[in-house]
Amino acid sequence: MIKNTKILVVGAGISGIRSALDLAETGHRVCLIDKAPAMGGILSQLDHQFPDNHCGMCRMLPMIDRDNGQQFCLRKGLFHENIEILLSTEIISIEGNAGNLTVTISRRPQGVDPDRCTGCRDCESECNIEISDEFSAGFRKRKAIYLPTPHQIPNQRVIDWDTCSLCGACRDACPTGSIDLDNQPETLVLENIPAVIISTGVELYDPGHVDLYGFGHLPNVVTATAFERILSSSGPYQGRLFRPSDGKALKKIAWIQCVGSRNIMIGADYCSTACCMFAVKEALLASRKIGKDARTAIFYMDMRTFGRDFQRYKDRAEKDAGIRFVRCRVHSIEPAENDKDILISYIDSSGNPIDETFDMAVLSTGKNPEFQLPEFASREGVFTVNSARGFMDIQGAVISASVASEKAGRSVSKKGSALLQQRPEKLYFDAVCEEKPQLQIVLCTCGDFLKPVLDWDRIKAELKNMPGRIEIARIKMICDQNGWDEMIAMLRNTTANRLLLAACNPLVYLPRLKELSQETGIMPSLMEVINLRSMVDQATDLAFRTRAVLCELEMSIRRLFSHNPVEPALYPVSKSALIVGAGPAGLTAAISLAVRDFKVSLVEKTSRLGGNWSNIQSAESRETIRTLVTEVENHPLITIHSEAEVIQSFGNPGRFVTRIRSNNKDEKSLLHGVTILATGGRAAETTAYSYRKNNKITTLFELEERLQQPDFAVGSNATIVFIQCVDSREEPRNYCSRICCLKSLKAAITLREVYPQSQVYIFYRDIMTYGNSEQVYTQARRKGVMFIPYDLENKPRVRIESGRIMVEGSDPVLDEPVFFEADLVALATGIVPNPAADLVSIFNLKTTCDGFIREADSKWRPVDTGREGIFICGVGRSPSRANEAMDEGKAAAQRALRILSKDTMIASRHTARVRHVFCSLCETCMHVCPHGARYMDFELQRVQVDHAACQGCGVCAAGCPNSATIIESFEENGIMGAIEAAL
Amino acid sequence: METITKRYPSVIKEQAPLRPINSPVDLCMACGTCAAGCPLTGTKGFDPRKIVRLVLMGRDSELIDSKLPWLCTMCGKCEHACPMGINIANLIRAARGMVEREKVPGMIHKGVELGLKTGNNLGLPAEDFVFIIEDVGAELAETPGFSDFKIPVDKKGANLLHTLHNKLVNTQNEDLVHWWKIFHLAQEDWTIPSQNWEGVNWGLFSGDDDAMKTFIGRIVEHMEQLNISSLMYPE
Repeated sequence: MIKNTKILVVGAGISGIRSALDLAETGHRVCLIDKAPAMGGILSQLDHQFPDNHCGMCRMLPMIDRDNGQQFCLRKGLFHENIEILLSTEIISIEGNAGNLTVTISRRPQGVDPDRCTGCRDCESECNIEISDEFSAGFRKRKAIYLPTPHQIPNQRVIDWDTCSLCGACRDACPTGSIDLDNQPETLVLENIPAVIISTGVELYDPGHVDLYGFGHLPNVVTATAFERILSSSGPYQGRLFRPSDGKALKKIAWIQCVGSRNIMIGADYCSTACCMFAVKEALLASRKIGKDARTAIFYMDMRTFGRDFQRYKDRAEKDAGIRFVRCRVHSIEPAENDKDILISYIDSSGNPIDETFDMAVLSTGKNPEFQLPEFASREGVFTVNSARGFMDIQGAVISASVASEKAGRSVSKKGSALLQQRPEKLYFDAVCEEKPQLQIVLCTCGDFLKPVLDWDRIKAELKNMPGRIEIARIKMICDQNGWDEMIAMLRNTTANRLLLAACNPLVYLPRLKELSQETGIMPSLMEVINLRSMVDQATDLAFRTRAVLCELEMSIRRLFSHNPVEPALYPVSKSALIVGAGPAGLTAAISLAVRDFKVSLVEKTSRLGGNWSNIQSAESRETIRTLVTEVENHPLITIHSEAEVIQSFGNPGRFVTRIRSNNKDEKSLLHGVTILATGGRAAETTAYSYRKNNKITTLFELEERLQQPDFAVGSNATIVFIQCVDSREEPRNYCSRICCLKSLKAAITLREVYPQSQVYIFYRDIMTYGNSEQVYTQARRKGVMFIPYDLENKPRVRIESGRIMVEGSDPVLDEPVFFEADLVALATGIVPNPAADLVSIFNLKTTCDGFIREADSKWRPVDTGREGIFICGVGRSPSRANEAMDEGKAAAQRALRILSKDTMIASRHTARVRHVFCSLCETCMHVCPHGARYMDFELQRVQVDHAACQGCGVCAAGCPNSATIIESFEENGIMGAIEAAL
Repeated sequence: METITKRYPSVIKEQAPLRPINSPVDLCMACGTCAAGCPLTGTKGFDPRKIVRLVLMGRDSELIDSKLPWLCTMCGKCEHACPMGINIANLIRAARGMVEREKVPGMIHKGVELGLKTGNNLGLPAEDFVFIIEDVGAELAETPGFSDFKIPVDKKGANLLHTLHNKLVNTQNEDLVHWWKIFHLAQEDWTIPSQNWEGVNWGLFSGDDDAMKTFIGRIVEHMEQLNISSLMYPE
């Protein structure tokens, strides 16, 4: 039995990583497990994400208190002092009560000792088992002992016990004896687990089940994930687009949407949400790689471009890259006459049958309908990330992961068990700027291994000759406890103020540097670790090896001597939040923070809390928001400033001062550690379709309100026409408002239920019922609602003739005009953000061209802004449904907790510093800083660096015309010195 | 002045059985799967998606009065892939059933009528039928190994009742013997009825449920009267 107070996160894909980091950054200890032998989930196979078509996973890394973890590419691995990672591990059972769970896990040995493996691959060469490699989607073969992902650190092999024959060839071949063929899984019982987060993701549908798509026997029918491997530079052709079956250069590629989704015959009455944009992205990348000969087509039913920036991305793909969008679900895929290419039969927009050959068909496979969460996922104290229920895009997964961490963190804090690991930390170090630089070098001899392979006398002699005070000590094994203790004892007795650790893999030591500085008082910024062992392994003769080691040592010495020993000033965190906007998102965020004992000032422009809730048609949702309003009104830690607005704000994360003004002109200053903007939106206005020319032509929002009134009535035989995408998804308002389709469907269902004799028609462009809301679309059709697709060239027309409302359009299915005399017309006008220009300039943020406040990164940091400490959620950021806005509120609160849970803002090792004597106050640095980490101190007439927000990226230093800005630890002296030493 | 578009209740929709899947035609998403897969799409205006749409709008008579229902081969390729499981072939058959019988194309309805009247679609009298099959049986008996072969007609208590496709009796009676050879060698106890032996059921194609029932009822009757438990129905 292992007593444990770590929160357990199950599944180490991006959701699990997000949850684990959320909790770790708020001081919780986390154990992150995954049944796979490598981290990253499906994202480890995907190199490119829209909108910028890069990976970007690293944007999830901690941005404050960065030194608690290693800022490594997350595809390589996750390193944080509060996170323990167990791979090849699965949950067997969860018992016990919420807050005190007993979790039994089973861990399969990986077969290779990471400390001894040198990555030489001799084991792989000897293994005689060869199977298809999952990572490369079968385009490559792998052995039973293999590297699960090519980029992981450390890169030791693992044994796949399911295929290994235990022949022992690998063990005999291993030069360091690091292979153990004991494959018995280890069962561990973890007690006192305060909470479990399930973020296992979903299984993808096996397209082999579609008998007409040829997957599995036509080699050029591949899944979208497999195509991602073809696109990847770590793929079968290093990212060049060749067809793996015969090496033909790919030119004509077809994407087939909804494979395994939106199909009630296989129990998939849902949309898999992410596949549409995934296909557009792949088609765009492929078109760019192929060049002008590219002929790409996407076969779809509805192009679900429901995200804020999706429609424009799709339009660019169509117009600029020439991707063809064909509205037809593909019936079957057959071999072409040459037996290599494939043949797709479809109907064009006029209903003509067309047979077209393609080089390859890519199947956009969704969630496997048979996939089910384990039973324990519904236990109390177990929190399931939404991305483990249904397929999601990255933004959705990241937000839902933060929602789960918010819930888990809240449940743990409610239980009173203070899990926050507030270890006593030495935050201030003795000022050593007055002292002479004095360097202690600790050389680990790796037992007796390094003694004979280096010329130690020469090393000593050369180091002695170097300028500056240098002491050298040799320790046998720093990696074991004795060696470590010996080193600490030695360091306590020196007067050295700088430390160079020359040992082996820096990953082993970097996480312990903080501990070392607490024990010895040497500032973490004045320590370095170098990998002696790898240099010794690489060079062959003694003189050369010694020279290489000396060179590396001297580089570090030069750097360490030039480091600035002044720590940036720290400041206490104000343990309170300012939330602007009291709609569903703002209210949810307020509660999330207040229940964690942080004070909240809630500023609302109107006199009423709840935002647009009156428009919400479902009684259940209205009740949810009403409860939320009551809860906020009665919470002792929440102060409501209604009919008030923000007029000024300045400060840094953890310490903002904001001035608000109420409508009676009273002004007040608030001190707060974080800011959450939940400014919301409102129904868009329109003049289209004869709106307001007749009171029977109404907006969808007005209809929703009218439907709730007891005196609402239309004739029992009424003809009711809905028009979707009014002024939306075309310039200038070229985005989907995300809520209208669902609202129209629900209103249409209600009307059909109340008036069974009525005729209800919905003109639509693409029905945007992503995820499980697809069921509402299915239900609406079942209830007899008729759907008529239209496109921008062929919009319906509304005219009024002697008081009668006439709606004209055309039915592309029957290819004939339709003409209705409507008793009611509902216009889905969509939503626009509330005007936020003032607020955006007060907080120094950015907006999209549509006026939504822009987040730091739409995929990986959706609720952060470009300025640390300021967060956004709800419709002010992007159109969202009420439940999504509330989720964003929770996610924003969780992000805010990273700051609020700290007593002091801590700067990280590498941040920028301004040498004020050189500064001409040109403010270039302030404009270029991508993190908003610079501000003008008007009192001192200086440009200041916000050390908590600064990421040390160096853009400011590059932009500064006077070299006034430098990055700590990357000073010119040190860098030039190191280069000199290397030469 | 344009005609006002309206949806009407569809009798075709009411009458088309929801088999094998209980999936009403209303669920159609107009996704195009059926049209993309149908071997006839584009032929003389045929398009299964349009047929579904017409039924959805309740425009039964347009469908019934057109040639469309009779173009379909009833292969079922459309509904096999329909993500909503709509029984498209059943809709077409229901439409066929609503066509006035004299407007049913070709000889399908004529065959049904003859079959109802005479017990087979050829209108062949019983003695002619027995003559033909006995003649073919006698020919078989001349083949080595089948010398004791005899056609068992109307045999009470036999194990297996065998019906025939009228084509085999009419023009291709050399194909009759394949089954008989197997029966003989397997020492099967089988029989053929002298009347109502018709093994095809053209009510299926003409959409005539009553005729179908009558044809099937006759076979059931044979089995009860002759006390036979198994049926060999090779259509």
